[in-house]
Amino acid sequence: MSGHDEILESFIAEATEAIAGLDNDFLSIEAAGASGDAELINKVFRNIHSIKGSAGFCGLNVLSKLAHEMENVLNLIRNNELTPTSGVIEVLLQGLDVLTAMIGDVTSSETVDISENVNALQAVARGETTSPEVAETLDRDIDVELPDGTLAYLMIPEYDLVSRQRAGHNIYSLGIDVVNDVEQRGQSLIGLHELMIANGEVLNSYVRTVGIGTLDDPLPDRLDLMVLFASTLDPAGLADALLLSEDQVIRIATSTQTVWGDGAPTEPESVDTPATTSVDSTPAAESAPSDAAPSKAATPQSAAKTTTPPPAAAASLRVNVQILDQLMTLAGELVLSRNQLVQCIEMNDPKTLDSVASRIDRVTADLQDAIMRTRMQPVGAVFSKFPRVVRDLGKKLDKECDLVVEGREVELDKSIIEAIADPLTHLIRNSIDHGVEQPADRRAKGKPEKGRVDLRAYHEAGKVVISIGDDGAGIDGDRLRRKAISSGMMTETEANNLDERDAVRLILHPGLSTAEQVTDVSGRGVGMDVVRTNIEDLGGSIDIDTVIDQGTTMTIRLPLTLAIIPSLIVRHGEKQFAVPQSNTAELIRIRPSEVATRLRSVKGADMLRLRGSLLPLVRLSSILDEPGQFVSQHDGVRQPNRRLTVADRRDSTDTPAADRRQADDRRDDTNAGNINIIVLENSGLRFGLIVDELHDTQEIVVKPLGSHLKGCRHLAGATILGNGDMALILDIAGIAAVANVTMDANDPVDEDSDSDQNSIRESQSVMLFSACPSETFAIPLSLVSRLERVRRDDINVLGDAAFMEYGDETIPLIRLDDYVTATPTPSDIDTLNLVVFTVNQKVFGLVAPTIEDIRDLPANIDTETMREDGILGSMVLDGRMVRFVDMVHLARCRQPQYFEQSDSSATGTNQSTPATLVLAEDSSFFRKQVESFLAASGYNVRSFEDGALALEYLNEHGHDVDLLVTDIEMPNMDGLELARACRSTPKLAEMPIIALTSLAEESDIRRGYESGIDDYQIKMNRDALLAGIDRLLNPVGAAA
Amino acid sequence: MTQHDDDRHVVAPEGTISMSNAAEFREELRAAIHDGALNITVDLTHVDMIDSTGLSMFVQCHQSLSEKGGTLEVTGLSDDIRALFTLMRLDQHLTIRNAA
Repeated sequence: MSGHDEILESFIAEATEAIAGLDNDFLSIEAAGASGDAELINKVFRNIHSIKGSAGFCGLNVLSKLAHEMENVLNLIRNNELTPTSGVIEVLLQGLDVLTAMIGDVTSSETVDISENVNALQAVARGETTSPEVAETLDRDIDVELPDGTLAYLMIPEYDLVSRQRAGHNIYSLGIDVVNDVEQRGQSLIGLHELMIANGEVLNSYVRTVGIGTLDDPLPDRLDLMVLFASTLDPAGLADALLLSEDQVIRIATSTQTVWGDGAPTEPESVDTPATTSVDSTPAAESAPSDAAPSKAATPQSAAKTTTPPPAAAASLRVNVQILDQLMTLAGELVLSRNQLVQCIEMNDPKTLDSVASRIDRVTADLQDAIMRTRMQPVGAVFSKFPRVVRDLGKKLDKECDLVVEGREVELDKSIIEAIADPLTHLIRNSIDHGVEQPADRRAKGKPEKGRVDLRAYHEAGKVVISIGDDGAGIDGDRLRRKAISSGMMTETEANNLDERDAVRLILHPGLSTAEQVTDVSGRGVGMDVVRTNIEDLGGSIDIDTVIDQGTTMTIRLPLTLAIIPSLIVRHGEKQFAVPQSNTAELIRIRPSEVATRLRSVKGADMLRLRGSLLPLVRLSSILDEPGQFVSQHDGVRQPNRRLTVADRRDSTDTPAADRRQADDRRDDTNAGNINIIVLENSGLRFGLIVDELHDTQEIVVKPLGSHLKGCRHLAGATILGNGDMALILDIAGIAAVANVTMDANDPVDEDSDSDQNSIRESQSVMLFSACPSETFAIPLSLVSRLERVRRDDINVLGDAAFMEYGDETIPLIRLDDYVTATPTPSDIDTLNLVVFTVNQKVFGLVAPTIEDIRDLPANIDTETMREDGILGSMVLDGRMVRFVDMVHLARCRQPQYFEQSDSSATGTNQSTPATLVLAEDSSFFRKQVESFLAASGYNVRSFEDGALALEYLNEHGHDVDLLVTDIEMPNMDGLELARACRSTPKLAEMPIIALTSLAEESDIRRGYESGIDDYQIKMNRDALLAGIDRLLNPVGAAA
Repeated sequence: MTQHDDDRHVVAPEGTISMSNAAEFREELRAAIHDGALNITVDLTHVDMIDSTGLSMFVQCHQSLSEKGGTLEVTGLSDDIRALFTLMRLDQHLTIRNAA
């Protein structure tokens, strides 16, 4: 018996190979017509002939007989005695289908009735190309019965049923009371119809008019809709998908279906298909395909066969002999290497160990490569079934369509090839069904009547790209927007804010394609979310390009293989993670000096400035919900990094958090090294991931996660690294979802306009000066009283301190290098510049060797990199580092005694309970400065980055707030609005308000007072601001 | 809203034909038939939605007219509504014309 089995198995393998692709060959023969390609016809003839021979040898007489009849027809074509017309090829294709099914299940092939095929083939061979039998097979109409015996559908073209079953569909009868089952449950009939289109195909439908009566009768309380439906879903799945209950979904089985089971890709055209198909009395629930009830044609033997596992051929794999040879060689190499290793260990000879290790390394790599290659198969295996799909569907829809296939030879991992077949079929069907228009419409649009679908496979950037393009109607983004709005997925504003690309991508959205299917001309929401999920499960991505009336191209990018992926290893805290290289677009390291200019906060989200656009940033620490580490540049010690945001390094004070970084941590940040950003791409989504450290790339073997980690969307799996450590593999799509990154890769935020606004809004006039060419300092022009040129001789030096006669008083001079890291003024300069400024009503002079320029600078100042006492921050200007001098601090250091009184007065103000100030300021630089000196003066400060947030706080905690300090120009709600809002709120009406501004125009000030602002202060003038606050909090009258 | 076009009585409802407002439209049809209209055209150009009540009413109207040997014709269907009529196979009972 086993001997017979072996013969059978080899027959199956050989025959499967022989028939593979034959259907396409038939189509080519049909296309070539009378001028036939003799070589091709010969090949097909030989294949069928060899099947006939071996089938006969195995005792498979029915199979042999069918092959024989097909061979006869092919022989006539070969001898030019018969033209391969569409009718002839149709008969051959039907024969091939039955042949394929029989080869797939040889043991029951003997019971198959092939008489109809034989008759048809013989008729064709006799030259009766339009033989009645053939026509009948295609055109016969049959009636369909329900399980209770009622005739439910009359005159259904048998072809409709058989062709769907051949394509693996189940046939259902849906009984739906539109009133009670649909509308009473909050669904609409249109919605249901769209769900139907999305999940299958309506073959026939009608409404039961009996009982509805006339206009003289009352309105009926039900409306029964009957739908004959084809779908690949099982009954339970279909009921789910259509939001129906399972008893409304009744599966109808025809005899042909039962013989071959649903799994078989094709079914024989059984001759004795009864005019009335038998029905499956099992509704719904029992969903397994093999549950199909026995039918007239099913003999006990064949019924038993339906439960056998899929044909053996699927489990085996053909491997190129060359690769096998290579595997053998490599196995030999491995044995040799092992021997060397053993010897090396026995001899305890460390010297040779290195060479042995590298040898094993090489052999393993080659071995891995060769084994992976055995799994690689050309995509042509999947592509080859599409010409048939296109032909059949085109015929059915009356659309003529060419399928142009390129890149059949591109290889993909076997498991991917298998998994990609369904999504691709779906997309191809969509292209023809929804993309390519009816010939008349195409003519009207000036396109060729014959549609065209392009299927291409090619390599790109280490991935395999499969694109399906049609020259059809395109996808209408507006329609999708409307659908999204009507389904409640997004608001009208949100939908209208989507650009065209995002709008089109809506069809991939599950919410849209299950709840509100897109249909008709442009719609392709047909289960597209499932397609996307399938592709993403494979580690791939899908993109859509569409132009109305020009066509749509779906581009799928797939990894070559799933089992081993090159990955970038990154470290976060103590843990290592792997980022699939396929998702990695580039790596960016932000030096501390670039932080201020390249990182910024837009609407509360961190952004990276990258080649003129903004890239959203996600911190791995926030995804993992644990702080990372950084390596101090000074001592190389790893320390916890408690920084919460990147661009904006200030705590948002509205969230109380005990573990927020303290002042000390800021210093740590300053010393922290570079910021490492991986730019990731997934499904058109592009964002930066901030990690602690970047390591090298490794090829990692993917291991699935334990079930307890299944809920972690940001993890895709785990792997063991070369050093034995475990690393978790990050799931890029998951991270994007968790972090709620929504920005499209091709939709960068228009950063320029944003930054322009910012710089106009927050520009600051500064004076630039330097002591030597490499060091430039800046001071706010608003603080400068006068600029004097003085001779070195005029400066008096007493001890370490310098003074100068200025007018009728002696003013203290400040030399920058006494207080901050700076080069001393060169001694050979005779004439110096002196910046005269006033702090706390005292006049000071700052020695500025060379005055360079006066500039308006944007306020995006890096407050971290160059931070030291006396320096507010830095920025890079024209390639030079410019440091902003904290004049007040310098004055304070120079003459501390001048400030004792004012300090004590500030403290005195707050000796009982410190006054609470609210600060609204959008520039993080200014906010931080003002906040810090207010806090240093003993005030409680709550700061917010715009007026709206401040107002929110004030409305809740207004009674605890003593004074409001607000910027004028802010996003969301500006200072004037904020002031007006406060004045119109009773509990805030009396609260003093000080406005901060970089440049106060008369008209601005007037508008400010009209809005209820009590006082105006220049931003950088700390003492004036403190005095102003003091004045408002302690009015003279009240103090007295 | 109502006009005569040759020998056809044309009714052109607007908005939605559903449970909540079907009564008015129904009365209009009844009155028209009562007044002897045999052939009625319903222009749906300005109708954006029809629910089951509306569809039932079309069936009733059709049957009322057929009893008297008249016909019901529908024009100006939006894509969605046309899909509904097709799904219900009402297109086999009523005449559906493209443009009004």
